[in-house]
Amino acid sequence: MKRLLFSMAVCIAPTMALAQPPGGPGSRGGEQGGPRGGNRGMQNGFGGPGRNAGQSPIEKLMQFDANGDGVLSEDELSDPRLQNLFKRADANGDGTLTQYEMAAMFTNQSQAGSRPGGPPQGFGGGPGGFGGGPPQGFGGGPPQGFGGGPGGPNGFQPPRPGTILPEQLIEMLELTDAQRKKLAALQELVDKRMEKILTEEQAQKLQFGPQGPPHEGGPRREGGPRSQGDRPPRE
Amino acid sequence: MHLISRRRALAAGSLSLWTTKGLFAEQLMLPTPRLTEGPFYPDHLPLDQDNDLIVIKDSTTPAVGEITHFTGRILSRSGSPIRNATIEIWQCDANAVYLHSADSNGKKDQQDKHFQGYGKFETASDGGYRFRTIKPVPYPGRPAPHIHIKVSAGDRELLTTQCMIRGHEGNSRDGVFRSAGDVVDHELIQADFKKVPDSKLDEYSAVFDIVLGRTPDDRQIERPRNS
Repeated sequence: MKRLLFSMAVCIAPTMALAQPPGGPGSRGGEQGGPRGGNRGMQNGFGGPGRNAGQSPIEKLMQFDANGDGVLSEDELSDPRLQNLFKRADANGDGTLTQYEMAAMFTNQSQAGSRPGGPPQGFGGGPGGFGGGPPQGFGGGPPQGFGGGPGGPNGFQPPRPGTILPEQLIEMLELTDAQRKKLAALQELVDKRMEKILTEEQAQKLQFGPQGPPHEGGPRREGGPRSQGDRPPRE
Repeated sequence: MHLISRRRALAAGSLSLWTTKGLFAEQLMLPTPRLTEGPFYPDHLPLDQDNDLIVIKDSTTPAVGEITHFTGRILSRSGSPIRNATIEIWQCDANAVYLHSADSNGKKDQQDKHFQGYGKFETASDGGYRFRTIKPVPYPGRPAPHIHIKVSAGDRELLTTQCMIRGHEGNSRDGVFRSAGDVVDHELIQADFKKVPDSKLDEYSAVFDIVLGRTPDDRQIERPRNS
């Protein structure tokens, strides 16, 4: 079980890292043009989004993992502008960053950076949250650990275990159709791999909790309307 | 927990196999995110376009605001300095007025006539640039104080971006900042504005290195496909 939780945490980590405040339009003042507007045509492919985009923050940092050991050391981080971030993320101060430390910081940052009094995030209770508690059947019962943050009225349904990006996050990040397609393909891959790893019994437990499949109605995640009435307005 | 320590052990064991790869790798740097130019790139460039925005020509009255030494280097993704690059900066004055008629026309009384509002600098072989300007202030609708930046080579524009003040409380409420990307991107568009020690005038210094996504040569090759 421990092992299983671990591997799931790996699946979930990038999700949490992406749980950022919605970068949606704020109060538009006189000066604020559209993001990346301006003379876009003049500088296609230059600067950040061309290269940085499409990668999770963890992926961006792991590019620096020169020896490929899955851990980022201070020496490897050749971009001095990221030293600050490194120090903040290096929770135990050992001069190396594990992906867990990164995920933890990104989660904290996104919470700290969210607009005060803004829409509740209700996602990402810290990396320890998921799987930290007693094994509480993922389908049943109130969401434990996962989504343990300041959930608020918008509190997400716990996603199916192994979900790379829950629907709500996809909405929040406003993924393009192309991105959604790629994500769906990746999800399929993850699901297939998971199927191979787990025995049928384990898969059942994972999906429906220790009680097994519910006798009435479908699994919880399928039923019940999503409470989205109070989602922030989108443009 | 067991698993992690085992992973660590494995990693340590394989380290010797991999170090050579690291040794020969070039320095890697992430490109500075591109940000909106905004509407107030000066519509009439000032006569004085030097890198000292505090004093216009031979004026004896300096600009209002906290003097800031804004410096940095323009680099490629592999960390090598870009020479002969032109960097332009522009920002609103301490009273939140841009050097642009669309902004200043209605704010003539508010405008600080002694602030240059715009400056230009060409890099030498070290890729370095240097400006003397004011510490940026918020602008209505833009709670994050910022300096607009445009880098070009000859007539080719390479990057338009903005530099914001690290840790400023307005950043998290700022639309441009928020849509700039994730936490890593945010690191790349902020600079520490530090008080210069022993400075009588309470001057600040900010170092902001700019990394271009591709070299100008790459761009020339790409251009036909993009246009």
